[in-house]
This record gives sequence, structure tokens and C-alpha cells, in this order.
Amino acid sequence: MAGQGDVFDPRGLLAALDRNYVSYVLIGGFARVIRGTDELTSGVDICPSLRPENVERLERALAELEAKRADRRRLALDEEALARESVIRLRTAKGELQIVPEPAGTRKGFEDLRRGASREHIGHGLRPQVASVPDLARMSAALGRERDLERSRELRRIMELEVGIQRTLGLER
Amino acid sequence: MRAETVRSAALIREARLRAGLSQQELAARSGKDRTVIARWEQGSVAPSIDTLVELVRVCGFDIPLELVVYDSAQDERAAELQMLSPERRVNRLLGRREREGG
Repeated sequence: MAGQGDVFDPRGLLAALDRNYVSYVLIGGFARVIRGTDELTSGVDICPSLRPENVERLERALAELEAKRADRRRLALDEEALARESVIRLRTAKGELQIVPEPAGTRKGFEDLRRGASREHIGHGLRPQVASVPDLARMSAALGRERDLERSRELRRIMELEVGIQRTLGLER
Repeated sequence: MRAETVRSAALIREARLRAGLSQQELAARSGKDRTVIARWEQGSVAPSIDTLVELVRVCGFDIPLELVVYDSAQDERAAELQMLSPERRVNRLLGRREREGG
């Protein structure tokens, strides 16, 4: 994620989204770390549901987080902005947040990703909906930059390991 | 899903989804049966390498087939991280950032 703010409190950030009942799928570097990649990341990326009522809840959460656009423009999450901007970069009291309405490699963003996503315990009572390993690999591969392709390869290794672990534990589907 | 089929299954699904195709549409374009494509994506069976490349190309992508040196250290590190819970992975990230001044 772009920017190097000092604050990075992903749990605090996600707790604010929870308190406001925001529907989203966690994507990007923080989601990949939760899935097991070995990388350093400094922000949280989400793909939210774009239903009007959810966008209202997201706006309330962003107000609570004192969110401001990284480019210093006025923050307005209207339908036009969500359709026009591929990434909305924000600085919040809990660290950087990127809103990605339709991540690379997906169709209709949230609706596409939520099918494979699962809720994961990340501590402090939080269970965010995290994009699946294959979907994270798909998004990284679609970005096509060398560092993203390396992430995609790492995620593919994780897919293989997960199948091996499931077999060992007798949990094969 | 089997360990022997996970790579091909993931690649076919990823290529199809990135091309915005349904399994039926991929079947029509590739001349394969939809049920066979479904079984490949589920990892019940795996196609040959040549069929895999052919399917991916129908989706507008390619798989470069070249030999590179295998680095087992990356797999070992990935396996270690897989043994951690998601909560511990987050704790590890936060600890690393603190140590490395991120």
C-alpha cells in the first residue's frame, strides 16, 4: 500500500468497520499475511459491498476513523466516485486504508470475492471476511507487476500446502 | 482437491474468471465438455500440460513453460507460516514492523 504513515493499527481499523456493520472483503497485503505470505505491509485494503446502505455505513465508519483522502481532496463516497476511482487512498487515525471497489482480476468486486472468502479469527474478537487464497493470487497476477507476480507465486505455494495439510488432517473435500 | 491437481485446477479457474467466462462459455470456446472443465477446476482430475496450455490460451493468457532452479527454502518458509494461526500471523507482522521500524 502506498504511503508510510507512522500509525498501523489494523485491528483498530477493522474494529471500527465492525462497529458500523460494514460489509467488505479484506484484500491486498494484509489479507495475504493473514493467509500466510511472508511480507511486510503498512495498510489495510478492503473491497466493500456497494449497496447504498452499506456505503452509508462505511461513511459512518470513516467519520469515526477521522479518514481523509491521501491526495487531500474532499472525501465523498458517492456512486460516481466509487464507479470512477479504481482505488480510494485514505489516511485514518488507525493507519492507511485503501478502498478498492473492483480489484484487478475480479468482476463486480465484492460479489465476486465474497463467494470464496471466509471469516478468520485475527485476535481481539475480530473475524473479518478475508479473500480466499486463489482469489488473492488472481488479483496479484492480474496486477502483473513483478512484485505482484512473486506474491501470486507465493500464494500458489500456499494453495498446494493447504491441500497437503488437509490431506494430513483427513479433511480432504 | 488433490495435491497433484491443485495447480492446474487453480490456473484454469483463474484464467476463466479473469477472462470473464462461465464454464459453459469456456467449454464452447475450447470444444471441451463443460462437465470435464468443472472436474478440472474442482481438482478431481487434471488435464495434460498441453490441454492446460490450450485452455489458458483460449482465455487469452499463456503459461510460460521454462525450467528455473527450484528453491526449497521458500517452500519451507511458507510451510512454517502455514502452521501459525491467522491471529499469530498478524502478531508476527506487527512485531516485525515494530522491530524494523515500519
